Amino acid sequence: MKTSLAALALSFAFTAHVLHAEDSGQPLHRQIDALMAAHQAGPVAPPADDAEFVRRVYLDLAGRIPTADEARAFLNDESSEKRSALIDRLMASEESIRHLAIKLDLMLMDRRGGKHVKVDAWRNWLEQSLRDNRPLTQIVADLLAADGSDEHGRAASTFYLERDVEPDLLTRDIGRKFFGRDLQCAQCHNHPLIDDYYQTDYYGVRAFVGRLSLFQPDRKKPALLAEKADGEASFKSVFTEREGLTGPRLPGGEEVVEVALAPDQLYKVAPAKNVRPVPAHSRREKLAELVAAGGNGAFDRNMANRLWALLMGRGVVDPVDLHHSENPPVDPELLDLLTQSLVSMDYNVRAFVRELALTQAYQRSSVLPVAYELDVEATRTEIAALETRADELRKTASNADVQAEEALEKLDAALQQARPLRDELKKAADAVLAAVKARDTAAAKVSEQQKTVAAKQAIVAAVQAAVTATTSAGESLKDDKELKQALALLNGKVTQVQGELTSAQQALEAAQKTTADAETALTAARQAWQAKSTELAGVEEQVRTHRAAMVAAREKATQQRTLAGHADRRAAYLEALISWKEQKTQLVQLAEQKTAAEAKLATLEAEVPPLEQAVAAAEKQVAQATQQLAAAQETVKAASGELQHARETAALLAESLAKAETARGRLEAADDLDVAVSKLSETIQSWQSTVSEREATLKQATSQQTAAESGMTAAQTAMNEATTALAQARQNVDTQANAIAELSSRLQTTQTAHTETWTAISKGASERFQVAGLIGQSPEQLTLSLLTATGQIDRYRIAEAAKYDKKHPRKEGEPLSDEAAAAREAAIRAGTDAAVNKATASFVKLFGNAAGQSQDEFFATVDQALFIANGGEIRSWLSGGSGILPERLEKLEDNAALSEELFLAVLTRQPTDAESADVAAYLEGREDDRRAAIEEMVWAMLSSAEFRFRH
Amino acid sequence: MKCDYACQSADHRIARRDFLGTLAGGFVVGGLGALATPTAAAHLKREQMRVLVVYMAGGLSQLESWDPKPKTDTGGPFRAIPTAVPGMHISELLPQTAQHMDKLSLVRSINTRNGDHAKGRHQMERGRNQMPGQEFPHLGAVMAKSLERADNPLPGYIRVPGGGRGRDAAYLGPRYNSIGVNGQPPANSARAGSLTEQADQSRNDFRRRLNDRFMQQRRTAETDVYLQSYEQALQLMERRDVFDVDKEPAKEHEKYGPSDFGRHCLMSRRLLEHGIPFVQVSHSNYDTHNENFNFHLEQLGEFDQAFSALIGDLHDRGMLESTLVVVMSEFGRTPRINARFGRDHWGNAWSVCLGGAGVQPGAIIGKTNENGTAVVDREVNHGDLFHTYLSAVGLDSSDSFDIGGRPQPLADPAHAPIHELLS
Repeated sequence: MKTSLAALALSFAFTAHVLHAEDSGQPLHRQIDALMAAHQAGPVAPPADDAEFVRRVYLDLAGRIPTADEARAFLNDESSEKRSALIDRLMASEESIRHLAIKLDLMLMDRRGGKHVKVDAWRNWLEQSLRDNRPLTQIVADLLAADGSDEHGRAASTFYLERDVEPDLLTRDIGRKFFGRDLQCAQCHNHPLIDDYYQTDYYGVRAFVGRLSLFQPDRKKPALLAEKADGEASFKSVFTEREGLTGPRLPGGEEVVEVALAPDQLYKVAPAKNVRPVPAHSRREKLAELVAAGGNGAFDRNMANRLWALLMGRGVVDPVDLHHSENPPVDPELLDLLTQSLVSMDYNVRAFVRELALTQAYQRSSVLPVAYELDVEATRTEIAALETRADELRKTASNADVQAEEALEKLDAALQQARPLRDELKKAADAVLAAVKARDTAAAKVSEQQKTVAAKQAIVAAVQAAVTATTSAGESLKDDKELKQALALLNGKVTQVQGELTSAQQALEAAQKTTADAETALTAARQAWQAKSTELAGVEEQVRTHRAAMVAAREKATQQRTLAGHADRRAAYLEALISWKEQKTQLVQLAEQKTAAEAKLATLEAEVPPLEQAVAAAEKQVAQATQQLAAAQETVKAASGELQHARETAALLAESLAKAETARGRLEAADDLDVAVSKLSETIQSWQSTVSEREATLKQATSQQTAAESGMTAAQTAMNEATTALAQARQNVDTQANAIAELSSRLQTTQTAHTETWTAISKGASERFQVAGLIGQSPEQLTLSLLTATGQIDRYRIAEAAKYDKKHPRKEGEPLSDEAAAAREAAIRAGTDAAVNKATASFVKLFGNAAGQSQDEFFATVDQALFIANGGEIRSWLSGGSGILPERLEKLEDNAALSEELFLAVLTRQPTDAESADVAAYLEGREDDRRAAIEEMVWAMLSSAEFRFRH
Repeated sequence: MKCDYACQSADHRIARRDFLGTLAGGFVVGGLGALATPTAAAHLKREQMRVLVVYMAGGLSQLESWDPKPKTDTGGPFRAIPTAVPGMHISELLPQTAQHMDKLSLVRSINTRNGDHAKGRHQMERGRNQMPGQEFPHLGAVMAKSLERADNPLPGYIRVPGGGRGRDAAYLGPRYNSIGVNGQPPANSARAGSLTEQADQSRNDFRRRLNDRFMQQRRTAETDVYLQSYEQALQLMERRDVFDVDKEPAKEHEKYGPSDFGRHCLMSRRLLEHGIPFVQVSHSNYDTHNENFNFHLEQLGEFDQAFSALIGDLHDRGMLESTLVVVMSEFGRTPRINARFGRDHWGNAWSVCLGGAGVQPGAIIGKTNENGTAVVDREVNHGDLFHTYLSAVGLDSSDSFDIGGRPQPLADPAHAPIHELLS
């Protein structure tokens, strides 16, 4: 298990620079395809269809959409090699060179320019560099070596001059543009948010350019670069107060070893007022030299990544200027492959871009299918391996941190040791300079005295010549008094001037001695400086050693963390892939459960109505029983009353009879009484039988009541049962409904999670180049595409051709030589380009970001939309001129043909049936202003997202 | 290990779940990209917030306005008068504003250590010192982005007076650059005469149908923003009048006074009322190296009428609770009066007046000495003020924007809001 995990980990992009031996003979695009196929996971877009491809490749390689004719030609071409043939044709075109030069310009300059160096000259230089297939290292080295002075290098000095030779700006942009590290935030302290960016890295770069400045004493003359020979890159963190000092050093590289120059030999041209200083040793030139030599990993990775981003819309590391461990490449192996290939292709931009255009990744559709195959078990195994690997990598990184920390301590100690030496060296240098000055002063005095002596000697010689002449004259005129006087005077002068000569000679000797002393002092000062310099060099050697160790450890830690970060991200992506599948299964299950639950609910609901009917029936029964019972009770009550009455009557009669019998006993003869008694007796008997009858009646009524009561009980029981049954059924329905609600909510939650996971996956897939990205056209592309779609570009060309032919008239039918034809073509192209550039300006203003800001981020503003909707440009491009698209369309009477031409010209594809119908519907009823209707449709298409974005 | 002063945790490994969460959130193009996700309530509250900056170009004298020092060697000829806040006195040049001071507050202890116009403007408008090779967004761009409302097609950051689009959003991108307005609707906001409204509608419907088809399969945040820009453009065309100050009745114009500044203040009110999140109105020119007192007398007369009318209106309409108002300059003016009765550039002890939104009314922060030559209590600078403005509209000023994967702090992390000024 362990070995298989390790093997798996290896196969997933952790080891740098593993090139599969069997692939390395293949062209780069095949190697890329193989590598990406091995690493791809999740949804992958199918290859783009021909229409999508032809539009994309024109936009990316020629900087514009194809014309309807170009599109048609490609779509109708049945050759199987037509894609690579088109790529080759476009790559060889001047359009492509122009477009790539614009891309490079934007990448290097962020729309800075035109202040010191003409933009045209700069662009032409870039174009020529591309045309000549100059290695990127050479191109960049030219930028970095330029000082503006050389007429041929003037254009290349754009990089420096258009940043006003501002050292911090240059440091930032050299870091970002050439080494992929935006060190800006490490200017005042180690980067607060990015662990891998250190203040010492910033100052390592800054040391190369910190001595530069803009030199332009006369505003009317072109600005140049001036460079001083002194000024060290020392810094102090505003957070930790830690101080540092560094010599020039490329990111990730070693500190440059500089030979200490004698303090009076620092300059080729020494600084002075209005004089451009030129140092004997130029750090700027050293920087250029290092870049030209190649071999800096950060530079190579950055350039490979930027060229990839140039074509693919985003980098393998993205943002492209933030190479660090929290922003790992989406595929480290891919980045390695690209980097090595760029180097082995000798940094040839066009050859490299061509390879990228040939890759499957570039030629994918921009529509991502919402489906993918996934081996969940294998994926889980890979995730586990990734986690293990990430932990190991972090452990290694921590070890490297410790090494870096140790090296840093030693470095600080060495810097500490160097500090006083540096001060002393500075003093020694000052002493040398003072001694040089003293020597020079003394030497000046010597030469002055030598002049005095020579002058005096001349005077002595002249006076002596006069003496000789006068003496010989005196011999001729012996008694001439005046001559004698003159001779005496002259002899006196001789003595005087000889005296003066002698003292001048003495002064000269003294000066010569002073000079000799000064020379000795200077020699001593030089030796002292040399000794100090050697001593410092020794310490600096240590500084460099420790710094190199520290940088190496830090780079290693960064590299390990970067790979760990990649492992984390890949694992997260893979987990998302699993989650989405699981969520999908859950969704299906939940939906099934819901369906089943709903079916059950229906059954349960069906049970309710009969039960409700049963309850109603029972209620009716109860009511009846109640009624019956009440009637029975009434009957009992009546019977009981009547019985009572009969009994009372019978009792009364019995009493009366008893009293009557008693009375007759007292009366002897009382027939009437006998009659009465006997009548009473009869009556009593009658009533007694009535009582009996009524007793029987009551008994019957009572038994009927009992029956009614039990009927009532039965009805109530039935009613209770029915009610309970109904309640139960209703509860069942409620429970089921709740269960369904619960299921719905789970469905909802899972659905949301599922959608979110898909968002993450589609982002992950597009970051991994598994689908072609949508990229907003640059202002330059947009202008050119609009001119192409509307047909205005043809009018530009025709106008330029006419202009040329008028200037260079030739007889009718006279054939053009190849040379002349090429010259004519070049002139027309140049004129057309100039016209396009002019048209581009207003688009750049609205659709381009400000100078110095990133030009890669898409943005859309209301004023852009207003410009497209109501601005004069688009309106005139749709209405003005012959041969333009609306005019062409107007001539097509068949709606289907019109629709096809419209879609091919603007969107580079055939319309769908629905779209053709839409076009026909739009034209319907517009017979009177058909042209206006056509212009409206063209406008709508030009302002559509499909037009605006490269896809 | 390094970086223990700024990192959130010692272990930098990205938590898997957190990362998934980030993935799921997708990426933001435009819109509020602050790193920390605000709670819904705070977001809602913030959405109603607006900011008005009154920029006193050239450098308003604190001694003739918010921090008078009458009867001292530096005080100049003007008196201090009481205000609606007991114990708070301001210059007699601001009699009407004085009546509104119970709605406003003063910071009297600003030390920006700078006397250069461009640098001072940069400090106050961007909350940081100028740094070579670095560009920071204007307060207006920061506010426009942070207070942006999806339902409002109007630009987020407007300068009055002005023209065209500024380039002051730095890394926040052109979407948040200022638009200068001068009482006229923005460029291209009128339909071309030859195009009927009906035709415009038809062609836009045709455009929408095309987009619907395209977006069915290829929708991204960027395509959304692109499509939205056209809908916003149409809405803006409907609402061009917002920019036409002449639509305000005559009596409103009267209230704000006949000066250009009065008109601009009325314009600003109109814009704020229509939901524009940030307006900066400028009043020129306070750079009074000569005749400081005469100039301030004249200038502040204009200011006092218009500004007090504006504050009164915002208050009466209940807008002050949600509108931060700041009166700022690039710096103040020297206490020393020069030989030409002028005052020169002075960043060492000066004042700002602010109020509304989350600013406590009637407060005085900090203090200068007897004759105003030095701060003696609660020294603050532009960085602190910038944080305070952000906090006053409910933003967390320690947040960062996420700009294409790069975190960019809203305000200089080396500073913090003036907490006691915030309610």
